[in-house]
Amino acid sequence: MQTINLSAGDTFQENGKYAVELQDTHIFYGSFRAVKDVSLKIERQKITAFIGPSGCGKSTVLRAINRMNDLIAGSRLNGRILFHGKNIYDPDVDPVEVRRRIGMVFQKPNPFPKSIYENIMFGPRINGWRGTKAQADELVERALRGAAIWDEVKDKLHQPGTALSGGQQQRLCIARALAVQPEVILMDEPCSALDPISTLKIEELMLELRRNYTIIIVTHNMQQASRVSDYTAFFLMDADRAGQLVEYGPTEQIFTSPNDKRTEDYISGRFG
Amino acid sequence: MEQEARVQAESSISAPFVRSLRLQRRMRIGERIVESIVFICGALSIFTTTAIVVVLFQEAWLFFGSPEVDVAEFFGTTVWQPETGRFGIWPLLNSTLLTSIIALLVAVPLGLGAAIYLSEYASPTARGYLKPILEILAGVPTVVYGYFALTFVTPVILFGLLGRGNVEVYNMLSAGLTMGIMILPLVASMSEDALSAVPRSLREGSYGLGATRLETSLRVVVPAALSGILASVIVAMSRAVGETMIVALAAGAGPRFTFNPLQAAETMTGHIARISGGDISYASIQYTSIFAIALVLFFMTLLLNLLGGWIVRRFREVYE
Amino acid sequence: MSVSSADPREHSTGYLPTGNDIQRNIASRRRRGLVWQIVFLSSLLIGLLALLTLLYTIVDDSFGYIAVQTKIDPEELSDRPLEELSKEELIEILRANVSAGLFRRFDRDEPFAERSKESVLQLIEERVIGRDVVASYKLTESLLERERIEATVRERFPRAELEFHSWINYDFLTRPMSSVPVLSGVGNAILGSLWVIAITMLLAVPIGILGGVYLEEYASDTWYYRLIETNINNLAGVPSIIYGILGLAVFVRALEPITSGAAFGVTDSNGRTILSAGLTMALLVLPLMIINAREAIRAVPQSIRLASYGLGATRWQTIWNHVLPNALPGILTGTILSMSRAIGETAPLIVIGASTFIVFSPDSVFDKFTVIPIQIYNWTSQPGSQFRNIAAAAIIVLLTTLLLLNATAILLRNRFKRSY
Repeated sequence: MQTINLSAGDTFQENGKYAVELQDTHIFYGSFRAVKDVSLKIERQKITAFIGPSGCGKSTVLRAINRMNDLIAGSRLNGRILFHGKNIYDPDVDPVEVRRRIGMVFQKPNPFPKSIYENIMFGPRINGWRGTKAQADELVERALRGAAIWDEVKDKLHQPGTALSGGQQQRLCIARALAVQPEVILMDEPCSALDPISTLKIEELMLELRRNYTIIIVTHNMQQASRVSDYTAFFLMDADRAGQLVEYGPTEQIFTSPNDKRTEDYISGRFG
Repeated sequence: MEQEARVQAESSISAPFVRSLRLQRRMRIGERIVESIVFICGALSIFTTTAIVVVLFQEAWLFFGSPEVDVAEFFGTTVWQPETGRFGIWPLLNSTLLTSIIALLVAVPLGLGAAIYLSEYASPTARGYLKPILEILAGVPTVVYGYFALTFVTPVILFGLLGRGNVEVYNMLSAGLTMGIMILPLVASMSEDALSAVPRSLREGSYGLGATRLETSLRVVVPAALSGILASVIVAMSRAVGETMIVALAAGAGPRFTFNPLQAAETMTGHIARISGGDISYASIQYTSIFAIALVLFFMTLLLNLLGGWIVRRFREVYE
Repeated sequence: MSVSSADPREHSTGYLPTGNDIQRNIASRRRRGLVWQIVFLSSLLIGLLALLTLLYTIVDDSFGYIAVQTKIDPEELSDRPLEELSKEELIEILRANVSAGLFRRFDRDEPFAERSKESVLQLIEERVIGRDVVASYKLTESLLERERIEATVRERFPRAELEFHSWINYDFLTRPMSSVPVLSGVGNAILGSLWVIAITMLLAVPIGILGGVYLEEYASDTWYYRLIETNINNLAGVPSIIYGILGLAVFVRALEPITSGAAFGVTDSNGRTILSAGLTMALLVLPLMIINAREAIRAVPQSIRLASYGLGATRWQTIWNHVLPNALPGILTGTILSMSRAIGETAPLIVIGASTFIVFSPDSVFDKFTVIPIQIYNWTSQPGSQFRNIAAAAIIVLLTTLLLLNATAILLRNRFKRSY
């Protein structure tokens, strides 16, 4: 599979091993604390999975990384989230830039009601892309190849994206995200609305994408986490209904010999 | 064994059961009557439409059948002067179209802009106040707008801006501008409904790619809501074409074929109002002429309404 | 395939801003976004500004200075204020001060025995006292340019007195119309509106509710159901003047024996009566009533119906005892909205033939009629600033009525919304 080039040169300084780092992060909706005291470091070009039962803040933390929570009125964050060493919640950081560099794929596929071609070109165009028609075609092809869907749609690029099947739509959304050349891709339960075969395809895709992108995935499916991820973070809701990070480490260690009893209980299916 | 027991049980309650059966049959007749009544009430609308069509066609037939009138002249010439026997509809039609287009030029950009602001930018509390105020504007009777056209729009705006010598007291521009203000809330309200109906997931997808609010609104939300917005424009056009009081008061009395909006020119509706408001005998050609004009008007609004409905149905599929 | 990080500017997939370019690009997009946000907000504000200007114009015309001169001082007619005299005393004053022929004509128009006291008083003011408003001024003028007005009046109308006048006052609400603006009132127009609306709602409400019941509860998806449904939606979009034409041809002309009352023994009227107006407006308002009733009925939860059927009730019993009572708030709101629409409609009534000059109050459905919007139309279209004044006053009456009605509708809707 072909991939898209990384962007060179950052305003955020390189930070070596870790693409994203959360430090003492608390997330509030109004006065309600949804996430309590999360600190973890996401390693570059690896897949990190957030697992845990429903409602324990995994998606909230994920959406904080690309500042999507800003869209919810009354949400705020204490602590820091560092992207290449710079706190993305600093007042001088524009969330638009954060989202350009940290892309997102949502739980339910949400292609725009435009053609497949236009879906892909939307991101680059609004971000100031310039080029000829040939270059645009090339960009679209690379993005679709990067999402392993080129062969299936190459003859119908001008048909609406909404006409594809669920699994194809989700891969289209991944291609769409790839087109703006992010460094990190966040995936919020990307396969939960899909059938098993599409799920498998996307898991294979993730492993391919890992070569060039840092991937953070929220998933309900423990088997999926153990299949694809390099690192796993386990979240749990505490007594105040605030999500907390219970344990974080290499996937193999979490799944075979977890340190925390709660982790072990969840893994072995005693609750969840 | 079981079966026997059941039959025995049934027969033991047969007497009151039979009595209640008879009661039910009586009530069913009552039900039938009710059913007929409600059906008639619902079908009364068919009577209205049929009556409109029959009445319009009947009198229009008389009109076109009378010796002074020629169908080609009706649709082809630009003079409407009953006294000299000339019946060309174009002066009236032209004025109707011109005033409506002016109204749309005001109402659609402003209405859509207001809708985008309400839907994409305004806070929920602000929207809670502003939307009802817009609905108030929509509920003001049109005769009040006619008054507004004569007492404010013409003197203050037109004479003030363009000079008294250049603008006639009654003119199409005043009427068109005022009509625009009248239908602005309609466009804004319907467009805002269409924009709000776009699912949140599309907006999130756009923001996720690093788009600003403007880009999301104009490039994702508005195109996704396009069918609803177009429908609102068509409804607005239909309202403008059928509007009477504003044009009767401000656009002028007397058909005139002109493209200059600063001049007075009577519209189709204004003409019908003026003629029928005076003394006319049922046998005169004046009387039948207003039915012919009304027939054209009816067809215009019917076509527009059907077009609006078709657009909504056709483009809604592309949505999800 | 390998990964390359070549200079993006020459890349085969075009140029995407990177590094510092990103921030510059975002800054210009933000600027553009701000400009458009202002544009959108302005659109909204222009609409609101128009509403405010409208209200301002109306209020401006409804209050202000007037310069009044009279032919005879009212004190010369009677030592007590005229309002305190009885109707008979007023009639005597009138008889003493106008020609016999004129007196007889007044009696012929409407017999003195049937006239209200206000009507006689109005005649005295019109014909005997000759209260003449020679100039009227708007509110802002009156407040801000008082000296200039006083000077002008002193110069041009030396006999006149300047007084502050509210064009909307108790007399205005009770008196019939008159050719003299300052003596005019909307009294009989209000009554005419009430009569017409009463007939309209009497017909439209039950038929509308039952029609809604049919479409929601009884009808199955057949061709005629869809036809009726399309029909109603189309009718809601037909211009109101066409309803007027329909009313003219059917009620005023074809059904003249009924609408003029000839079939019931009334001899001196034609088809242009309150009855025709009410029937026409009922047809106009019916599609709205049906659509509203449908929505209200549809909002009643299915569980209520199922519970009723489960107890063995028939369809009509369920509707009458459960569906309609629960849909009542929505139907009430719809009724009020339809009423608002009917009160404000002018065009159809012009076509039907609302009278332009009536001085008596209606006392049967076979009478000629006028309604408030028609008065507004008449007065607005007449030249002369004073007619604008009373038109504005009449508009205040109309808008206040509509405001009260709609406020009631909103209150009702909010009050009953919590009942589920």
